Amino acid sequence: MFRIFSSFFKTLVWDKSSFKFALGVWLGLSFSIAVILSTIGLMDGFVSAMRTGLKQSSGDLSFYSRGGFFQMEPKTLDSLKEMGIEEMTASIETQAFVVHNETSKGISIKGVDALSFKKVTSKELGLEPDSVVVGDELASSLGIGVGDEIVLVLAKGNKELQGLPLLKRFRVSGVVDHGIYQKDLRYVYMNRSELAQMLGVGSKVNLYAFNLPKEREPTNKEQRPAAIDRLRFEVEDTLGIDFRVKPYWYDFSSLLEAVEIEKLTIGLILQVIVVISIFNVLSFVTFLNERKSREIFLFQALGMSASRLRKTWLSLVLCLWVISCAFSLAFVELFDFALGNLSVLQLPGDVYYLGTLSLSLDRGDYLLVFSGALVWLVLIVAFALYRMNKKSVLHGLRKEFA
Amino acid sequence: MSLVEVQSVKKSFGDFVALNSLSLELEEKQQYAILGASGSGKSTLLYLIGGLDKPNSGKIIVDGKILNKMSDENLAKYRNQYVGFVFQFHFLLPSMNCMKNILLPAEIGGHKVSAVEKRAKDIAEHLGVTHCLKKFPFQLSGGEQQRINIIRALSLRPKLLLCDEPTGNLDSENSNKVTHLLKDLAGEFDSTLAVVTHDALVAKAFENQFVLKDGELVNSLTGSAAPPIPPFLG
Repeated sequence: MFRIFSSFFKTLVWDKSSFKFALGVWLGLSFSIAVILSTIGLMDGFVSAMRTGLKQSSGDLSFYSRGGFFQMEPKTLDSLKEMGIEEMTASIETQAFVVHNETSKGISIKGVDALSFKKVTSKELGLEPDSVVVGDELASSLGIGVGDEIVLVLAKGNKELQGLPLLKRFRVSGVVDHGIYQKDLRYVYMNRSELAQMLGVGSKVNLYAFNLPKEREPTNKEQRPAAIDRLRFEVEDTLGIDFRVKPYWYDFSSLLEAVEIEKLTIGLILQVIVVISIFNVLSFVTFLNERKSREIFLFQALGMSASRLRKTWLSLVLCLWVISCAFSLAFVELFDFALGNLSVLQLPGDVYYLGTLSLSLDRGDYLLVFSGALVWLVLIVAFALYRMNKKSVLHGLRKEFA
Repeated sequence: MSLVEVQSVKKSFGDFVALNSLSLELEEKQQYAILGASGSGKSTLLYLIGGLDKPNSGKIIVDGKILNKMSDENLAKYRNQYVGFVFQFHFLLPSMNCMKNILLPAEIGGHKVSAVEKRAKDIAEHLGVTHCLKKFPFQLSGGEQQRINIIRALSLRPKLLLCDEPTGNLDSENSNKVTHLLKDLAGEFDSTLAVVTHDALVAKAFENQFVLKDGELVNSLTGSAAPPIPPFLG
């Protein structure tokens, strides 16, 4: 069977023009599949990079009091421990201005306890006394680096001169990258105790962050957001109405949902590209059927049945599909590489929140795109082959010598 | 004993009637020339006997089997195992060498290729084209190509050897050689030979002749009598 298939294939694409046509059709199909894969991968990559970036510096869940600063009661802490939440990090978040030379910017100051913060977020800040760590976009927009000095301007806290802001000079001890443009542009970290002292809030904080306990980690990574959501509601029940618990993606949840819907919609629209390239396959099949009618007639005259001819055609088209799928993977890899390495493909961070992206595709995405292309291919080409094979065996011969 | 019976066969292509209630018989192991001008229906008759097309009405019975009633699959098997075709334009695939061209029917029919290959080499030696087997068709002369075509037709020892203008592209010397070659080989392989031709000189080499005109059988000659040359061919 393979020998016949190989002979048939060689016969069809033996001449240069047929070969070039085949090459074009193959590249066209590969490229269309790659376009869909890349688009889906780009959107999944966006969601994945967004989630990863959002999780950095915040933990899986965080809660705050509707009443502002608060102090956790030991009883509540015990209840949370009973739920498996052992590690938590308390922080103070407030708005401020940073001033350097003659430039100032509105920022979000996070007063953290470096040790517990690292345990929850895995982020090593390297905070020292009277120092701050700034986001890398902020550092670059202010033109500052490690060792430089900046001034923080806090709206509250000037006890001597009530109503006037508090200004304090800090040394930059580190520059941190979150992977999210907005965070990198706004976040400034400092020791919680120093910030508490400046704000005069004592041992009170306004935010607690923690991770999903290990025993609640689902085996499938995809189910993690659902597990986090479940814990969120449990914690909300424990803390009561005065507290609000939010997952790390909370602030961007509508954007992430929109991306999911967009992914589906664009995936469907892009099917048109596949259909167009499958019409190319169809025209290729029709072209060969006409151009090689004498050769096809010979195969039939020598004993190939119409149904076997149809199967051989279909196998040929399926081979084209397999090779196109394989080649589309190479296109996707190439695009992924370009995305990560070519500056022309870097995203404008102020629009997309993310500086760089990489494609994120799972088995389901590949299966969906490849099988979608296959369904279109089989539907369109099988119908065409059925119509073509209704002609008599002699059709090719008569046409050739007419 | 009749190997092929053509009974009141009609075949038309659109408005054009290629065969009109044609009936004839081909005896087993006999050799026939089917003579006629262009458009007389001789090639159509050959292809109907060869199972490449089906008549609009009438019957074609080969070895007791009605071709019209055969399924597509069985008709394909019939073409592969029962019939050997020799075409005017040689019909050798340019993408493969001559030996592969010869082995094509065996590959299509799923026959043991090694046995067919040995037979092909023997015939090639007999026809003096052994040196052509590894060459591609475009490297051969017209006569050599036609010999390869004949080897392919005989490769599966067909009961029925059907030739459509096998000498149409050859000069008179080669034409004569190929005609006698076909006759000799068909005799050697015990095949029934039917040669379609418009050339009265080719037809002259056959004891049995059918003359077709406008899709009808106008003359049927059997035995050793030398046939007259019909006026439309002269």
